[in-house]
Amino acid sequence: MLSLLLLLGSLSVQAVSLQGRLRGSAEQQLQTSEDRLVSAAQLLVARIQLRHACLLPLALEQWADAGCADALELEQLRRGEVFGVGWQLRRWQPAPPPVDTPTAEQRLTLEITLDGRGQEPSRHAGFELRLAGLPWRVQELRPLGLRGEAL
Amino acid sequence: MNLIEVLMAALLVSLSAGSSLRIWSLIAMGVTQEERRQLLADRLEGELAALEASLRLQSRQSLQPPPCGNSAATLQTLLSSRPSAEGVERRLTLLPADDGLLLELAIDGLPLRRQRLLLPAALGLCQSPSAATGSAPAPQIHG
Repeated sequence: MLSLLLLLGSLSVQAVSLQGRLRGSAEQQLQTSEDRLVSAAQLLVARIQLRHACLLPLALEQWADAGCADALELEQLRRGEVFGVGWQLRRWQPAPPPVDTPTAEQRLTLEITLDGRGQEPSRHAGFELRLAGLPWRVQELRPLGLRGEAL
Repeated sequence: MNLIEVLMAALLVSLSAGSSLRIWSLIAMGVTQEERRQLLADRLEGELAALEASLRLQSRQSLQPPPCGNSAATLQTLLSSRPSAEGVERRLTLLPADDGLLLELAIDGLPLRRQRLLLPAALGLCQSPSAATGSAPAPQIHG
């Protein structure tokens, strides 16, 4: 009886310890995804700022008609790779400008999805981009919401 | 219960108690390691947050950022001069293609690692040369 109790006690503590390790491993995976998503967002925003600045204040759906990037360049802006993992731009949406007061500032939200890899799920994150103008230039890129939230 | 049964029972109890103690000590060691790993992971996260905060502050302070082109090298010099948290190894490498840096943070002797790209153009630390000279056309905003 005593030996059974000792064994059961050990097993339950072992289970708790394993749970802690799994939590640690999941946390590490989330941080890795966060690093990739933030890096992908910076890479994208920097490329647009430096090579296709006219796209900065436009919604993603309007890029094709903007005339400052050809089809291949647009495709390279919509998807890419960071640290060996693919990413896709899902959303690039300016916030409506204030009606009453003209402003030299523009805010946008962008969403990026990271491809799933092996057993890692596909993840996405949102960012707020603040532009100052004119001409528009990037002032701040800030991650929004959860870090690398799983889809 | 004869003597042999008593001896057998005592042997079983002592064996199970011994095994149990070994398992408990292994678990305790695992928990300690996990706590240390978590502590060091938090240290890396803190180091990253501190670097990001300093970059944000710098971006807010530069009303008219310089033209991009050599900004990553300037950023590398600036970040290299900052002391890093205890036990955190920091490495900054210039990217070959974009005007940017690869930031790597690691803990000595542990597989804990964070890596981020830092692009001055995306952080508001520089602007495209055409914008800096004011020659870029002002685009129209469409909601």
